[in-house]
Amino acid sequence: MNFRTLSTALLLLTAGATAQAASLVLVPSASTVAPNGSFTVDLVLDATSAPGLHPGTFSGQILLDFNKTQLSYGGFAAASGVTFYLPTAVATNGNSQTVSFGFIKPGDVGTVGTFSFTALGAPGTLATLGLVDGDDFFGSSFVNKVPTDQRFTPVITGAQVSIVPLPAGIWLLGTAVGVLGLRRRFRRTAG
Amino acid sequence: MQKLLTLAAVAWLALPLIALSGLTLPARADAETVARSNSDCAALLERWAGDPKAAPKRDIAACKDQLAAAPPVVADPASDAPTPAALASTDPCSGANAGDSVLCWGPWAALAPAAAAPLVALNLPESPVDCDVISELAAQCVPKLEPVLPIEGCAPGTPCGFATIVGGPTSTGDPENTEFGRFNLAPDGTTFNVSPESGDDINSVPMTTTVTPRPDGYGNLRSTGREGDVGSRLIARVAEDDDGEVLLAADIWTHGTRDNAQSGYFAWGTTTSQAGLNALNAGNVTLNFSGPMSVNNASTGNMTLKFGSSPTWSGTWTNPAYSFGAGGVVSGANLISQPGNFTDNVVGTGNFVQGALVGEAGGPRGITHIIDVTLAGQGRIKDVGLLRDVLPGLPVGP
Repeated sequence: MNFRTLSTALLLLTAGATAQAASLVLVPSASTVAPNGSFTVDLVLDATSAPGLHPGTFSGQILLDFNKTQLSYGGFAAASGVTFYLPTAVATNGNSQTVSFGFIKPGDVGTVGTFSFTALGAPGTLATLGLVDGDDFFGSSFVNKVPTDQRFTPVITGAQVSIVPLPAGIWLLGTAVGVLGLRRRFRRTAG
Repeated sequence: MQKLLTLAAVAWLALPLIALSGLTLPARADAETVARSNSDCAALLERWAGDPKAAPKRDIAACKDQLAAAPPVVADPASDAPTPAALASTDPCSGANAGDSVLCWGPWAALAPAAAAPLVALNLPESPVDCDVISELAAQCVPKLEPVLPIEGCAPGTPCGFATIVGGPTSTGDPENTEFGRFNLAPDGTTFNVSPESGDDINSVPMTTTVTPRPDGYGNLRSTGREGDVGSRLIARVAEDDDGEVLLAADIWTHGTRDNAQSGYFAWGTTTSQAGLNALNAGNVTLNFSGPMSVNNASTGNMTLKFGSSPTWSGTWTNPAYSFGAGGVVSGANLISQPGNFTDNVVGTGNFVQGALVGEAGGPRGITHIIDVTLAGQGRIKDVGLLRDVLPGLPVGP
């Protein structure tokens, strides 16, 4: 009983410590997509533990990189209230492509914006969306701007996307539904 | 017999006094009463010109006066002898080669700094020195002493900022390892300079800037630059004029390499012009300022400046964990605390608040300042902040 209580306390402490670190993540962090299928990932900031007043206004620069033979970048749509201090820029170096921008987001927790992609890779490809601080020269570009600029370092996490073919059953089910639909239509016409 | 012995003893004791008076009196009479002829004076001055120790200074001065008062003599063109007036104006230490003589002073390339206490040790008098009390020193007496500033002060109408300096890129460090310095910023935000109390200046590399608006009237400035392995960065709140020139700025500076960077917080502006200060003093104007500090922005500073014939200031700094008050004098555009004007919870020595009034009437105006205080139960606090003027009837902005 005592061991269980202690374990629970330690678990809560660990969870609390994890929750205290500011974070910038891609959501979902893992997903599957069919070849040539389009998908989106959200850039989500949680800065409740950042220094300064809350709710704050947070600013930082990010850099997202991926293999352009696996993924095709479709754009970034900023969430409501989010502005840019550095415009979105796309750069290519060999097969590596990067998207970078600097944003200012009001509010402690929420979506900064949404990335759009199309999967180009062959089935079985695991595409990585690497997310890093866009100005890593001095460690962190992130600040809470309320009431003054105060630096913080969020934990930044990217995402992975598996490109997989749709299961054969899906095609069979789709064909059957189509056939049933056509059959009903012909009967009504005949009647 | 006893009387004879007594008389002999008295006479023996008196001998040294008699001898001394006999020796000194004629000498004094020689010095004060014996007059030299003009020719003797001329000869003496000639000797003195070659050897400044040839005669006592008072004799040289007397001869100079004597020859200067002598009637002009028609110069003999054939004679090379200098005239009495020329001799009187002779100074062996004023010639072109005077500096080569071991008997003359200087010239020195630069004045060696006088020994002084550490910069942070203030030794302000409680009140100005009363010259009448020290009449013997009246010639050297300065009626009102200028305050001693821990960090170099700012002249009216010139760029003026202060900064904290720590090792590493995080801008924040232990107060004991935090240094103060003067901060300067190019009006376009593309370069900055930090002058620490000790050590070499920190000069940024050229940077590119972006400014975006923010709801409190400031702009968000981001400036970054890279030259080889060295980088510089500013993340700041700025107030700009219509031409986009930065008038006030505050917050984060960083400079150095990836492995060896320095950083800190700053507050910067251009000090009020002398004309502006004169107007404030002539009108006995009172100005109020308020705003968050930069190192610990949970602290809010409030300062009141009272201009007039003897301008003064007072202020309070409040934080969820502490508060303290200070006051002092305004000298030109500079503000400095006086030791007797701190609240009781400011303990120890070396406490100070220094700042400068920046901006002009009608434009963005503020106080750039630094604080270095030790609070009872709280420890040492070092911070820098830009306070903004509080206009009557308007809300206080950060």
